[in-house]
Amino acid sequence: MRDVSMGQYYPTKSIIHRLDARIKLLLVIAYIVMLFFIPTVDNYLAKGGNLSDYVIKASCAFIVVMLFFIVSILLSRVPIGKVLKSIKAVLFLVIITAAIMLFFYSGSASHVYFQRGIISISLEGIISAAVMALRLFLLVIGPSLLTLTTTPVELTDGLERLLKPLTLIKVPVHDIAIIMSIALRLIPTLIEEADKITAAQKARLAEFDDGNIFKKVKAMLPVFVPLLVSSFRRADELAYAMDSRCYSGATGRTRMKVMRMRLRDFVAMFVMAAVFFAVLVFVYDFFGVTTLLVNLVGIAL
Amino acid sequence: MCYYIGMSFINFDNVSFTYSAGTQNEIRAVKNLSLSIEEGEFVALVGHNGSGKSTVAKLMNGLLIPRTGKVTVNGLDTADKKSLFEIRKNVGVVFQNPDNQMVATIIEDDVAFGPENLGLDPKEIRSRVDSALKSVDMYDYREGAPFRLSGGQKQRIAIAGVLAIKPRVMVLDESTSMLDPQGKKDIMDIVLRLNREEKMTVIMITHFMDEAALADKIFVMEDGELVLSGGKEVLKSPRLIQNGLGYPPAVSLAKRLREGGMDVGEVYTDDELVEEICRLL
Amino acid sequence: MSIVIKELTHVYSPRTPFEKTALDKVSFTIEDGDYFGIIGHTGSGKSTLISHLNGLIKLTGGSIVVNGIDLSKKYDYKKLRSEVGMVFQYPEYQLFDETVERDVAFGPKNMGLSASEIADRVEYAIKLVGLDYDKIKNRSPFELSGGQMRRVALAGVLAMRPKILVLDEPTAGLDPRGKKEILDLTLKIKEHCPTVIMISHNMDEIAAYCNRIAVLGGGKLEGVFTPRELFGRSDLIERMGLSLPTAALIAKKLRDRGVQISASDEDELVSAILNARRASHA
Repeated sequence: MRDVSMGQYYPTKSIIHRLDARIKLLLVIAYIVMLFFIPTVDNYLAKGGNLSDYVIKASCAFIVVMLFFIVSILLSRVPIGKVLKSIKAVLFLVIITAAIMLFFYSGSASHVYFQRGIISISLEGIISAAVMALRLFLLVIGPSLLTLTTTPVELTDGLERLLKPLTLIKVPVHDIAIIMSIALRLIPTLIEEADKITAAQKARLAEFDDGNIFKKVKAMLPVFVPLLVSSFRRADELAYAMDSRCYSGATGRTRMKVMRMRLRDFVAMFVMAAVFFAVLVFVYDFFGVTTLLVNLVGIAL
Repeated sequence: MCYYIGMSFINFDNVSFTYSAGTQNEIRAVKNLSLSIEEGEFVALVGHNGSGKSTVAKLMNGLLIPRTGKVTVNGLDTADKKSLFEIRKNVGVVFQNPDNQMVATIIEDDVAFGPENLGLDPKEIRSRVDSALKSVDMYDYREGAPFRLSGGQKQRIAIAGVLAIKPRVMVLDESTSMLDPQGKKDIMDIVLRLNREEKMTVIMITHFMDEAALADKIFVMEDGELVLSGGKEVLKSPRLIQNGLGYPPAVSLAKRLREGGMDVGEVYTDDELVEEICRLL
Repeated sequence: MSIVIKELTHVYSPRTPFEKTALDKVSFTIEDGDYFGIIGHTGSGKSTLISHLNGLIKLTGGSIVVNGIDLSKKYDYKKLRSEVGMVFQYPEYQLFDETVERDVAFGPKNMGLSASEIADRVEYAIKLVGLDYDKIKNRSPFELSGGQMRRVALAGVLAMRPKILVLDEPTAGLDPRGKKEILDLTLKIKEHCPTVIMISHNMDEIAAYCNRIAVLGGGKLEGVFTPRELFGRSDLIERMGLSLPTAALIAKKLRDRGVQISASDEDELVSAILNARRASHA
């Protein structure tokens, strides 16, 4: 798919798609912050907690987050495969991080199963690795649901409106937003053009994949120079076209699509707040909920 | 051509324009040009590439400001910065390359760009965008991306983008030159309808003589100078042969038929020619 | 020597939801000395077809033999690409080097020719496209006029001394004078490069310059015709979403009005009308 301007957007018209882009941005930020409230094993133990408490607290918190996330995906009607695809890019990172945690856990470990040199496998290491992998996984996959359900245009628009207060401290929010939106608009055109120029230079026997990096860069010049020239020409013409259509910056400009908060946006915020609260309840043992759970588990065992 | 200043809707009074003035690459694109365009007219401005005709388009709504002389639109001077907004509300321009005049990634958002700049109420913008898209028969595409459209369709979006501003004059600066025959025809049909039915002033800048044959008033430029101007009779001027623009096809065919002894009357378009031949047979 | 295309088939993104058949069992032959036209609506497969001729698109179905080079076997692509010169739409947008001379030398240099041979070819090509070699060779291609830039780009391909020249919309965006100059130039080029293949939307150009014309529609070949055969078939032209040359169009409009006239060029049209006139007044 060449249409970069649509990014990963997967159109289904679901309720998640129809949420206000500003709200979606805020929710994703809240979601990320929430993930960081779930402590790592090291941190928890360092504050004097014990391992079995940690396991119960963390798993409760993760279960809540996962449930929230799974329901969101189901509501968005985006195929689960599409959502999981984004993890591919960082899979390597996740595996490496988890592996380091697993084999080189350095904290004080209660149960060590294997030790040779600096390599040691311990219960704490295993839990650490699992928590780290889960956290990274959720961290990457959450924002990807945002880009799957929101077009880049909506995102830029949402960002512009969210950041609007910054104009008070002279941040050119509108200019940044229009630059982003024009970039989105021109990227597919420029990619197409780069393809055409490449074909034309190949027809003149240009070689692009020979030799070392310097040779390669030099070989790209016959594509890069015309592309640059044409970008300038396009920018020039676009400026005329915008001027001609009465563009004079943000002042006096209105928008056709008004972003208005609807009931669903308030519901979404409420749900997010509830999930966030639930995570805090489990992690910090508010109202003794976790203690109660620990005891219940203890009785059951 | 003797109009009182302020009477014509667009007025060029002895206008000259020079690119890169004062450098060694100085190009005098327009020289001492005087012309006037009335409301409701369908005007063709023809000339070769480099004859200065596109510069004239940009002078018409203050994208360029004359070096000497004066351009007025509805009595407002384009050199007066305070008038520019008002002038551009009245004179919209559709440019040559459809890819270089779209600002948004969604068609309806692009059409909305102009009215949004006017600061209109969102409901008014929506209704203008919808009716502009319907007018160019692209309403069904409104939520799509321009990326996959044909050149002709993109150019129709560009026209809609101008229509949504509701200007009184539409300038088409070689807007058909990159299109295939179907795209060209679609644009010409829309433009003719806008002029005939909605009384919009249309200024077609082109080097296609068959397009010029549809206009009521024709200006011919060579090397920055206006060399011919007038009604359709301009299309028969031998000067068009000398400068290589050529006659519209119907004009040259009619000429040859007359040389063959057939008494063909005044025709400028293919349909007029066909009509005339049928009459004579 | 010729181009023999048999059962050429090409599918983009095969076995995906975006699968699209661009060419479907296309077979025809282009002979040495042809001024061969290829016409078809946008998306008919024209570009895919010509990109096969110099190996820019890898052959995946059917066979192509270009001047004895069999593209379905292992072949020397440098030899193929210098034999088949390809001039894409708006070729002036590929110019990149500091001077005209260096830009035109790009192809010959990539062919691995000697310095003196390169210099000879650059001079030959620049002169062939009708530019003043001494005046223009040291100028930057970016400060030339549009028409000059297009000629320089054309020279860049001709300097490889191709035996087959493929032109994709060579007159796009030019004014009437520029169009005529480029088209007449192709006739001059044809004395050096015997086979010319042209894609064009402009049927007047196709009718006036091509001796044989292939019509593509939806990836299928509708046939190869002479201009007279083709523009006599207004049904086919219409079905393909193409337009008729001016003379044929006016003849068709007259036929629709009940005047029985056929013509494929302006001379024929004028004499046919004059004859009809004489007949009706006899």
